[in-house]
Formats: sequence, C-alpha cells, structure tokens
Amino acid sequence: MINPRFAELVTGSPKHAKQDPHLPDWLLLDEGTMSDEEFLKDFGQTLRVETALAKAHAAFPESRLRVRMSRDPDSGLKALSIRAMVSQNTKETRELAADLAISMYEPDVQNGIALVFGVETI
Amino acid sequence: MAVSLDELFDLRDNLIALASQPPLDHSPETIDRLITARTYYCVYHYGLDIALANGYVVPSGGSVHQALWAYFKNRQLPKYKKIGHWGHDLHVFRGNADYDIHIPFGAIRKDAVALSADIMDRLNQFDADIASNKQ
Repeated sequence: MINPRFAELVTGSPKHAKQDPHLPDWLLLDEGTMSDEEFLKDFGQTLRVETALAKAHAAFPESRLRVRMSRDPDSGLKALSIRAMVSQNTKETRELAADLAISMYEPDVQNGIALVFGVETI
Repeated sequence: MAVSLDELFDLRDNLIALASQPPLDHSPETIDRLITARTYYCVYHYGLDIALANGYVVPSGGSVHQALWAYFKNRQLPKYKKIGHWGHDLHVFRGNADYDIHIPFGAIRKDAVALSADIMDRLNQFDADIASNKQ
C-alpha cells in the first residue's frame, strides 16, 4: 500500500485530501480530480488505483505522477489518467507508459471507468 | 468524401506553423489547444480507415472513439495493443484541450503531436503486417 490513508483520501473531503501532508511527494493530485465529488463517490476502487499508482511509480521512479479525472466528452465515460511528468518525453518513455497500460488493462471493467497511462512533459 | 485525410493533416500542419507566430488576437495556448484537438481527429480517422480495411465494424451504440481504441487494445501482439492505449491517451489530451480549459496546458500540444507520430507509425506497421499476411 502506497499510503495507509490513501483510501480515505480518495473518498474523503477534497479539501482535506489536497492539504494532506501524508501524500507522497511524487503524487500530484489535480485539483479537478479531487474536487469532483461525484467522481470520487462513483470510483470507489481505491485498491485498483493504489495498484496502478504503485506500478506507475515503479516504472517512473524519478517522476512525479499527475493524477486527474477526465470524461470522454462524447460518451461521458470516465477515465483516471496517470501521467508521469518527465523532463524529456521520448519514444522510450511513451513505450514504457504503454507497457504499463497493457499490464493494467481490464477490458471488462463494469463501472466504465478506465485507467489511462501516459507521459507529459514537465 | 467531403473532406480527405490529407486535408485534415494539412490543416493540422498549418496550425503548427501558425503556432510559432500566432496572430495577435489569439493566445499561443488557444492555438496549441486547437492543434491538439485537430491532431487527435487526424489520428482517429487515420486509424479508423486502417481498422475498417482490416475487418473492424463500427458498433451501433456507445462511444465510437472508445470502441476504435478498444479494437486495437484487444489485438494479440503488444506492439499493436499499444496503438489502442496511445489512442486512448491522445483522446484524453483532446478532452483536456477542448473541455478542461481551466487547467494549464503546458507542453501538452508537443506531447500530443509526438504521440500521434508514434500511433501513425505503428498503424502503418499494423496495416503492412496484415497485408503481407493476406498475401
């Protein structure tokens, strides 16, 4: 488990979560993610998120991970994007993120929320 | 076809040229967001054409975008699964560009353009491999 209080954080008060000093410094929760209470209520899959974050951190140990919720503007389907913030966005980093995405892919996710992995230049 | 893929790519490339010297009444970020969105649609249609030529059928319900990238995510070889995951990633960038106007856009445009090149390169490999297997 990355953080004993992560489960509480993702289901608790957005303001509380934002200010929580126990979040690891490599984890950057976007304001949009933490203020969308509907999303947090619906997501309810903290173990899945924790596993994804742990894998992403292991793959990109030197990078901060930016986590944010987004919606498919056409269908309304939700996605949690986990992006490694890299100083050099190279083909290798993009390949690595895709390897991670493949390892976490669940085609039969019932609640329609996808995990998306990628890299983004700092 | 009322508009060709070439025209879509020409527009995207012209916008990239414009980004280096944006008109005074448009912020560089506005152009960057436009480029990101147009880049996604170029890649979406490029991928759709290749998928359709290789047996993909557009579903009657749900998101056509999610369905196209799921088609590639479910290929057997990891190198082709990546097309689907990258496409989904690029689709999120497109959403950021047009809908999340309050978030800082930073270098997302360059990230999206680089990602689009990877996807198209891999789509070309996919198409060529399928064609050679058919022969």
